[in-house]
Amino acid sequence: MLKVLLKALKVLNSDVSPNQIAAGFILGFFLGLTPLLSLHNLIILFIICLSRVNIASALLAVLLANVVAYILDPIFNQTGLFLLQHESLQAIWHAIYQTDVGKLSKFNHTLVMGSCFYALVTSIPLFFVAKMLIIKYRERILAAVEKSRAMQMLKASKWFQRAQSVQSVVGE
Amino acid sequence: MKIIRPAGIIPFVLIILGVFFAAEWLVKKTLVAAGEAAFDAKVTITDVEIDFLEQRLSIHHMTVGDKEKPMNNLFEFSSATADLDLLKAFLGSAIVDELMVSQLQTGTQRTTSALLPNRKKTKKEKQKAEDKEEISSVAKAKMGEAMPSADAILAREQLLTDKSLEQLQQTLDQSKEQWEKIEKDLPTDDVLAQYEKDIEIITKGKVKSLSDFKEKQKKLKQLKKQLKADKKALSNAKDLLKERQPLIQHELKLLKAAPEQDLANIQSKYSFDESGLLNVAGMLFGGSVKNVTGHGLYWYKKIKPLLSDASEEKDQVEKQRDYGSVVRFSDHASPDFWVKNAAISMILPAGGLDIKISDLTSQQKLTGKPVTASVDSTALKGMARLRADLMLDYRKEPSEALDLKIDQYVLKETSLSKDENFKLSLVKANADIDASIKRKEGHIANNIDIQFKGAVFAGEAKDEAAAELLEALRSIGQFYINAASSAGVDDFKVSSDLDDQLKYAVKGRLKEKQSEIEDELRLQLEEKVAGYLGEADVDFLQGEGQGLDLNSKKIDELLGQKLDDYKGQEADKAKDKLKGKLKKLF
Repeated sequence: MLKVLLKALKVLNSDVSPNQIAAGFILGFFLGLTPLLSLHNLIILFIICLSRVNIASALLAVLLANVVAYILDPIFNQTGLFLLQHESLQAIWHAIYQTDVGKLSKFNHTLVMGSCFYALVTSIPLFFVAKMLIIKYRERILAAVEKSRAMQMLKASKWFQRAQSVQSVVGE
Repeated sequence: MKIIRPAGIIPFVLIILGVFFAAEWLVKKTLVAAGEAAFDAKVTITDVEIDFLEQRLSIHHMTVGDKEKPMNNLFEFSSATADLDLLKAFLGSAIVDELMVSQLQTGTQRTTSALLPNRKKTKKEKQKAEDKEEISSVAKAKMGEAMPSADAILAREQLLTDKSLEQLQQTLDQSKEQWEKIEKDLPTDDVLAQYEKDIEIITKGKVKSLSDFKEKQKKLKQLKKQLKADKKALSNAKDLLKERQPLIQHELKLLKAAPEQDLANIQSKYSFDESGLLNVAGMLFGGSVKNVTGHGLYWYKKIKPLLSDASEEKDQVEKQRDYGSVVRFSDHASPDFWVKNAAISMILPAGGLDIKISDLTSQQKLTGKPVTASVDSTALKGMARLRADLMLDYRKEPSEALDLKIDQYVLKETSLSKDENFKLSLVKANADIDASIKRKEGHIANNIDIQFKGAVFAGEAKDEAAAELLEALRSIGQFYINAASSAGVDDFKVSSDLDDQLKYAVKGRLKEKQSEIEDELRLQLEEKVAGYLGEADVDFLQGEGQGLDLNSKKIDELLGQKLDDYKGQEADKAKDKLKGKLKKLF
C-alpha cells in the first residue's frame, strides 16, 4: 500500500497530464468498487492497460474504492436488488439475460448491479473533481513545497543530486 | 498526445495464450472435480483435447469408480467426443450438438480403490442394504398341497366327523348323567311286587274292628303316597327319554353323514379338479419376473431424478456467497445441460451394443422435446437381436415408455424352485421376449410376453405329486409366459399356457390319484365312525321306555285299589247274620 501511495505521489509531482491521472483514477475506482471477477472489469482492465491512463493512480483508486465498497456494500446490494426487481426494467433485464454476453456479465447479481450503478453515476463528477484536485495540488501545494526551505536544502544535498543522476541514467 | 499504449496489449495476449495452453488442463481438472463430486468416487481422465476452431472437446479414457464397490468402476470409456458451444460452456451451460462415446463399459475391474481419500462410509453403506427383492420361490409344500396324502389331509384338516363325534359323546355323557340321577328314584320290579303284596294284604284282609279299619286305611294311604312319588319319578324318566332320545338319534345321524361331508369339503378345498393346479406358471416364474422388473425399477429410480425437470424449483432470488444475491430471470434460450444427439458404443460381456440418445436433458420444457433412446444390436452372444426404445417425456404430465424386444435369447440354467420337496430348474431354452412398459398420467401398463422354445426342465421330487408334475414338465418343450401389471412391479400377474399343458399331461394321472385318495379318505373316516359307534353305548336309553310304561301302568292299577267301607262291611255282616238266623227259623 505504501509503495502504491509513494508511486502515486510521484505521479502527482511529475509532469503527467491531469487528464491521464484522473482517467486512471476513475477507471481504477470503477474496478475497485465493483466485484472484481466481472466481465466489465476485464474491459476496464483492458482499457487501463491499452490506453495511456496513469496506472499508478488507477491502482491507488482500486485500493481506495475497496475500502469504500467494504463500507457501502449493503447499500449497493439493496440498490441492485431494487433495480433488478423494478417492474419497468424487467423487459430490459429479460432481453439482456437471453444473450450470452448478458449472462457472462453477471448483471443479475445484486452487488454487481448496485456497485456498477453507483460507479457509473459518480464516475464523471469524480473525474472532474480528481482533475481539479490534481491541478490545485500542483498549483498550490507542490509549488509551496518546492519553495520551502526544507526542499531547497534537500535539493542542494549531495545525496539528492546523486539520486537524480542515477535516476536520469536508469530512467523511470 | 498518444492515447494508445501498445505495450499494454502484452498482458492480455499472455493471458489468452495462457488460457489457450492451460485450457485442456483446466477442463480436465474441472471434469475430474465435477465427476468426483457427482459420483463420490475417484474419477480419472488420461487426456483432454480442445479444438477451439471446431469447438470440440475430446476426452480420452475416463474411468468413474463405484463407491459401493470400490474395486470396480461404475463405468469407463475409451474416448468421448463432444461438439459443444464453448461460449455457453464457459457460461455454465453444457449444450452438446453431437456426442460420441466409444467402448463404454460398466463394472470393470480397478487396480486401486475408487474411494475418495478421507471418505468415511456411512452407516447406511455399512449395513449394505440389498436393494434386490428376494425371489419368491415356490411356496413350501405348495406342490404337496396340490396332491397331499390322505393321512396328511386327515391330520391337517378340521373334520366334521371329529366334531360330530365329540358332540355325540357330549350328549351321551350328559344323558347318562341325568338318567343315573333319575334311575335311583325309579321303583324296581321287586319294589312294585312288594307294593302289590302290601296292598293285597290291606285290601283283602278281614277288618276286625273300626280301629283296625282305620289302621289299614292309614297304611293304604301311605302306600299310595309312595306309589304317587314313584309314578312321578317314572314320569320324569319318561320326559328325559322323550327329550334325549331324539337328540341322540339326530346327532348319530349327523355323525353317520359326516364322513361324506368331510370328503366333499376336502375335495373342494384341494381342488382336485383341473383348475386346481394352483397356477403353476405363476408359482414357478412369478419370482423371476419380479426379480427382473425389480432390477429395472432399481435403475429407473437411479436415473429418473437426473432427468426430472428441476429448473422451476430454484428460487427467484438465490443467496450467494458472502453478500449479494442472484436474481433469476426465465431463460428461453437454452437449458443448462442438453445433449442433442449422442451415439454410444457399449461393450458388454455378451458383445457390443449401439445406443442412440436424442435430446438428453433435465429441462425438457426448454428444449420442447422428450428424451428418446434406442438400442439395437445384432452382435450380442446368446441372442440373435436386441432392440429397445425408450421415451421419457416430462414436458407436461410425466409419460414414460419402454419397448424391449429380444429375439432368440439363449437361456442358461435357471432355478425355478428350491423347495425341499420339489427342486426344479429350466436347464435351457430359447426365448423371444417382448416387453412393454408404459406410464402415462398416472396409468401404468406393463406387459411382458416371453415365448419359450426348446425348453428342457430338470429337477428332483421327493413326493409322488411333485414327481408327477416333474414328469409332466419334462414332456413340455414349448410354452409362453405373460406377465402383466397395471400397478407396480409387485403386482405382476403371471399367466401361461404352461398350466393348460400341464393339466392336459397330468389330468389322467391326477384323476387316478384323486380317486385313490378319496377312497382312502372315505375308508378312514368311516372306520373312525364305526370304531366309535362300536364302543359308545348310544342305545342305552333304548329299552328303558317299555319298562317305564309297564311299571307306570302297574302303579296306576295299584293306585286304583281301595279299602271297602267299614259300615257297609258291618251292614253286610249283619245281613249275613240275619239271613242265617232267618234260615234257621224257616
